[in-house]
Amino acid sequence: MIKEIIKHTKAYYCLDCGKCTSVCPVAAFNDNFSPRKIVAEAITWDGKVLDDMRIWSCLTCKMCHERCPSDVNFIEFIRRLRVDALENGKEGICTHGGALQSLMKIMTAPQLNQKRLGWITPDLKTSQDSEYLYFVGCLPYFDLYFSDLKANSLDIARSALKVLNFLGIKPQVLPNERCCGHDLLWSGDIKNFKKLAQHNAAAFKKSGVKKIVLSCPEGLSCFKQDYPNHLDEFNFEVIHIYDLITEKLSSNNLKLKPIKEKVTYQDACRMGRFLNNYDNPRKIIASIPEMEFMEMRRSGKNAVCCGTSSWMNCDQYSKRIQMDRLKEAKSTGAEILITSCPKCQIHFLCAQSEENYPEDMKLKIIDLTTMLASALGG
Amino acid sequence: MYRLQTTLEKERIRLRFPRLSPDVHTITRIESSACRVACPAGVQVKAYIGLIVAGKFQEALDLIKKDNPLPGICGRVCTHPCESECNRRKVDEAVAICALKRFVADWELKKEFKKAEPIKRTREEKIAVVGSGPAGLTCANDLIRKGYGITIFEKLPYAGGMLTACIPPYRLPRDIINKEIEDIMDLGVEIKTSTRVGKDISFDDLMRQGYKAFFVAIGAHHGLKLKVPGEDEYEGFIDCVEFLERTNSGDHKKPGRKVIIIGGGNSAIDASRTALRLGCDEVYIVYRRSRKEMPANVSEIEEAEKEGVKIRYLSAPVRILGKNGRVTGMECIKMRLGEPDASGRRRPVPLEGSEFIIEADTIIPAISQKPDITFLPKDHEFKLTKWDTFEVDPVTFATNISGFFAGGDAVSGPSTVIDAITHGHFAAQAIDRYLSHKDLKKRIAPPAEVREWGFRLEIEGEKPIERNPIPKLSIDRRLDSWDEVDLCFTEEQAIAEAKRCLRCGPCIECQECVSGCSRRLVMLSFPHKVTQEIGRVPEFILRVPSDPQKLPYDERSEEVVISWRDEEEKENELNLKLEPITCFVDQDMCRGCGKCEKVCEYKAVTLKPIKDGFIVSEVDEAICKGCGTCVAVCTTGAIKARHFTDKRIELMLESCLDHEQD
Amino acid sequence: MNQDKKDFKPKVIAFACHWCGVGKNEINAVEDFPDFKLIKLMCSGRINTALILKAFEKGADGVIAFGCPEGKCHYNFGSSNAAKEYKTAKSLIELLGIEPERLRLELNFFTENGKLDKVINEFVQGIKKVGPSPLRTLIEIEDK
Repeated sequence: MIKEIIKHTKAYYCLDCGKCTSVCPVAAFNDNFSPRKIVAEAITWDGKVLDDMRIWSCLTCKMCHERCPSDVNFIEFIRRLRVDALENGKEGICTHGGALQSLMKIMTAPQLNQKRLGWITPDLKTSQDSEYLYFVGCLPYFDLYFSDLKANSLDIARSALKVLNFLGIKPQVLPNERCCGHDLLWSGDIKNFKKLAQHNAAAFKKSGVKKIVLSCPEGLSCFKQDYPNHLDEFNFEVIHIYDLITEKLSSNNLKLKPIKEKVTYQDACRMGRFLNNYDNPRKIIASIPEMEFMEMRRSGKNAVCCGTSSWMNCDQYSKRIQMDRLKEAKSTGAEILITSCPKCQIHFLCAQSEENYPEDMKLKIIDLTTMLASALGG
Repeated sequence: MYRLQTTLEKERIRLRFPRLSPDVHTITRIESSACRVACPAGVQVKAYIGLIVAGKFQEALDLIKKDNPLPGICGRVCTHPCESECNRRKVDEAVAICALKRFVADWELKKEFKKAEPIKRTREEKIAVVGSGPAGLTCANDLIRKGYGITIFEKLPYAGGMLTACIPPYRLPRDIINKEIEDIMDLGVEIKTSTRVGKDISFDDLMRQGYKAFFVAIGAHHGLKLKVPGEDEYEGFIDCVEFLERTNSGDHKKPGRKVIIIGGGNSAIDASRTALRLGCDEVYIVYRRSRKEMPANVSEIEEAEKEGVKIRYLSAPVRILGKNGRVTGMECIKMRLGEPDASGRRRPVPLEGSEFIIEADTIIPAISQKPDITFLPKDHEFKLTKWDTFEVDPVTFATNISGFFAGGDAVSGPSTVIDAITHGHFAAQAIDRYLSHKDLKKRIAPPAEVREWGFRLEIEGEKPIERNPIPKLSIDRRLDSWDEVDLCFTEEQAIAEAKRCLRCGPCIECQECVSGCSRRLVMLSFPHKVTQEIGRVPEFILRVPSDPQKLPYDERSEEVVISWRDEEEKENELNLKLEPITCFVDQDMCRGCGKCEKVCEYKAVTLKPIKDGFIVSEVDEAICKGCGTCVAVCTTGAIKARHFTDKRIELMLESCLDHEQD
Repeated sequence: MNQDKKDFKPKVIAFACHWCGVGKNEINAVEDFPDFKLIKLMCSGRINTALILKAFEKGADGVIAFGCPEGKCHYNFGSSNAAKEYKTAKSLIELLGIEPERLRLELNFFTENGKLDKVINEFVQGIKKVGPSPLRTLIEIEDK
C-alpha cells in the first residue's frame, strides 16, 4: 500500500526542496533519476510508481536521508516500494545474469551442506564453544566468483581471524551459515530474506554464542538493524571487528608494524551513514606507523557510494560514479584506497579492470581488516 | 513482407512456447484423416492424392514411399482398408485410392529415373532378415536407412516371398516386383537367394558371423490340411501354394482338365484364374460359406466369374475320390449358415443327407496356410502358438528370445501385404532401439485413432461424381496370356479421380509449404508431449531461420502476414514480426567494460565513444551471428540476445521444472 | 514429498546448442526420458554460471550442458567460453555442497545413433543414485 509506505517514511513531509537530488550520486550522472520526483510520483500517482523502473536505480546509500530537512526516509521508502513492485511482477535487472541472487536464494534451502570452511588453515584458530562467533558471510563465494579480478575476498576472513586470535579470541565459525540476506532485503525480496534470517538465527542459537563479530558492514547493519526488526527474537550482541580492535588500541600502546604507504579511505555507506562508524576505521589507520593518510574531499558523512548496490542495476551511471570516486581517491595523492566493505573493494576493482581505464588513475584497493592483520604481524 | 495463407482459426495461430526453437508461431494443426488412420502403415493418403491433383506425381510417390516402400505392388494387390473408410462413400463411392497409388508408381517406371545411391554404413551392427517377402523387405529398407548392415536370406531362388511365389503375373507383373526389390537392393541391402536358414546356414552360424539381431519373416507358405479321407493319396491333389509356386516358376503344364479349388480367399481365386490360363477346361471353386462371406477381394471374385470360373457356395468337401492312383472327383456336402463363430462370420453347418459328387481330375485345396517352422532346430526355444506362428510382443515384435524379432504372416498367419509392411516398420524401430540399448517398449506412438473431427465435413454441397472405373483388359485377350488384367489410369483419369477426394481436415499434410518457402520459415514440428489419445499430432509452425548469416541483411527481419478465413467466411489477418537471431545493446546499461568485445572473434561487438568520451558497446547486426557468448559474459545485462534473453530462459526453466505438473 | 530415493523421477535440465546434434535427436531424447527437459540455445557459449545456478535454484536435480567440441564450435569460440563458465559453476556448486554428479558438461558431436542416449542414461543413473536435489524443498515450501 503506497499510502502506508508514504506514512511510515514521512514522505508526506517532503518540501520539494530538491536537496536529495542535489546530493544523490546517481542523479549526478543520470538526468532521469531524481529522488524528489519519485516521491512526488508516489504521492500523486499512487500505485503507478511501482511500474517505474527508476525505483531500482537507487543505491540506498542514504545521502538523501542524511540531508533531507524533513527527515524523509527515502531509502526505506524505496525498499518498501520494491517489495510491492516485486509482488506486482516487476523487478530490477540483476548483474552477472542473476548468479549472485541465485546463490542467495539457493542458500534459503533448509537442507544444505556447504563446504565453506576450506579456507581455514591450521594457523587460524577457531573453537567449538566460544561465546564469540565470527560471521564470514559471502566471502568464500566472492573469492571464487571474482577470482579474475584478484579480489581475494577470503583474505578479509583470514585477516579477521588473525585479528581475533591476536585479541585472544578463538571464535566459532559455523559450517552452515547462510548469506545474511542484506541484498535480498534491499532489492525487495523480503520472503527469501526472512528465510535466510530464520536459518541464521536458528544456527546461532544452536551454537550457544552470545556475541557475533563481523568484518562486513552490510552484514553488520543487517544483523544490528534488520534482523531484530523482522525476526521475533534476535538476542545477540553484534560487533564489528574494528570496534573490538580499537578498544585494544586505545587501552594499550600496541606496537603495530610499520606500513609505509600513502592511503585514503572509502567510508562504506553501511558503515558510515547507516551505523555512524566513521571514527574507528580512522583510528586504526592512524595507529599504523608510517602510514600517511590523505582524506578525500567527500568523506565521512559526505562519502560517495561505490556506485553499485545489491548486485543490481549496474549501468553506465554506476561506472561514472565509480570513475569519479576513483579519480577523487587518486587525486589525494594516495597509492592505496582502503575499503571497509568487501563489495566496495570488488566494485572498485571491477571498474579498474575495465577497458580504457586510465593507467595513471589506478590504485591498489585493499581492505582495512587485511591491512590491519598485516600490521599486526600476520 | 511475406504472406501466408492458412485455413485455421486464429486461436491456432499462436506463439508457441519456444522450448525447442526460438520464436515460433503455430500456424496450423494437422488432424489425421480417416484414410490415413485406416491404413495400418499410416500412409499419408490425403496428402498424396492432393499432390496428384496438383500434378506433382514425383512428390506424391516420394510421400508414399516414406511409409510404404512397395507402392507398385500395393497399388495392385492391397486390400485397401483406406477405401473402406473413405468419407467420400457418404456422397457416392470411395475414391480409388489403391489405383491412384498404382498410377504414380507406374508413372515413375515410364520415365527416366535415377537409381538410388547406396546408403552410407554408419553402424557397426549387421542384421539378418530371414525371408524376402514384404515384411522382410520393409524391415531391411528401414534399417539400411539407419546405417546398419543388412542381409536378407531367402530360401527360394527368387526374392519377394508370397508376392513372387504365389501372386500370379496377371495380377502382379514380375517386372514391378523386380523393380521395387531392386530399389531396395540399390540402397545396399544384400539378398542371398537359395539360402535356407536352418539348413544351409544356422542361426548359430549367423551369430558367429557377427549378426547382432534377427528378423524372422518367413511368411505362411505351408498349406493347411483339409483333414478329409483321401487327402494326399492320389496324384492330382496339389496344395494351392505349391501349385502357384510351380506355375510362377515357369512350369506351365496343364494340371488337369477339370479342376476343383477348395477355399474362398485370394489364393483360391488366384489358383482358379491361373488354372484357366494354363488351359484347364473347367474350373470350380467350392466354398463352404456364401458369397458375402468370401474373404477374397470383391473385384477378384467378379473377374474370376467373368473369366469363366464357376463357384459353388455353401459346399464343403467330405472325401477325395480317386482310382488307379489318380484323383477322380470329390464328395461334397451342402452347408447352411448357423450362428456366428469367433471371426464373426456365420458358422457353416452341414445339411444331413445332402452329399453330392463333383467329378474332377485335379483338386487344389486353398483353405489357409501356416508358417513352415521346420527350418528351426529341434531344440529351438521360440514360443509358438498352436497355429505355428511366432508369439511376439504386439508393440515391439520381439520374440521371447532376446535379439530375435518376427513379423508378417509368420506372426499373424496369412494376412495382407500392408499388414506385413507395417510389421516390418515396427520391427525395424524395435531392432534399432534394441541395438542402441534403448527401452524397447517406449516406441513412437502410432497415428491417432479416428475420433470426432474438429472441422465441418461439408457433404451437402458435393455433387455425386461417378468413380472412375479401373480399366481392364478385355476378356478375350486374357486367358491365353499372363498379361496384367487391371490397367493403369491415364493421367487425366488419375487427376479426375483424385479430385473426388473431399480433403477431410483442412490440411493435406503434403508439406509443400515447407519446401516451397524460400526463407525456410515454415516447418513441420512434432510436439514435445506424446499422449495416448492423440498420438503424435504434428503442427506447422512459423519460425525464425537459425542461421541468419544465410540471408541478406535486409531480409533477416521478416514481417509476415498470416491470413485466414473464419466461420463467417470473413478474411482475417494477423501481423507477425519475426526478428533475426542477433544481439543488441541497451547503451544506458553498458559500462563499457569491453568483455563482449574481447570475446567476439567476429568483431561484431565494438566499443564506441559516446558524448563526453564515455565508451559503450555497439553491435553490428550485419556481422553478428547470434551465438550469445557476449551475453553470457556481460556483467550488467546491457547486451541482449534476441529470443534468448535471460528472462525468457528463466521462464523456460520454470516451465520445465514446474513441480505442479508431477 | 519426501520421496524414496529409488523411485523418484529426476528432473534434469539440459542446455544444448543448436549444432551439436542433440537438437536433431531431440525428439527421441525427450520421448525416452520424459523428465529430461531440453532447452535449446544457439550456442553453448550462451551458457554462463548464472543459468546453471538458476536451474538448480528452480529445483533441477541435475544440469547437463551440451555443446560442440572446443575448436569445432559452429561460432568458433562459444564452446571455450562454456568450458570456462562451467569450471566456475562447478566450483560454486561444490562450495554449496551440491553433489558434483549433478552437473556435467559434454562437448561432443551427437550425430551417431546411440551416443547421446548413452550419455543421458549415465547421467540420469548418477542422479538417481544421489537422490532428489536438496534444493527441491525450496519449491515445495514455497507452495505452502
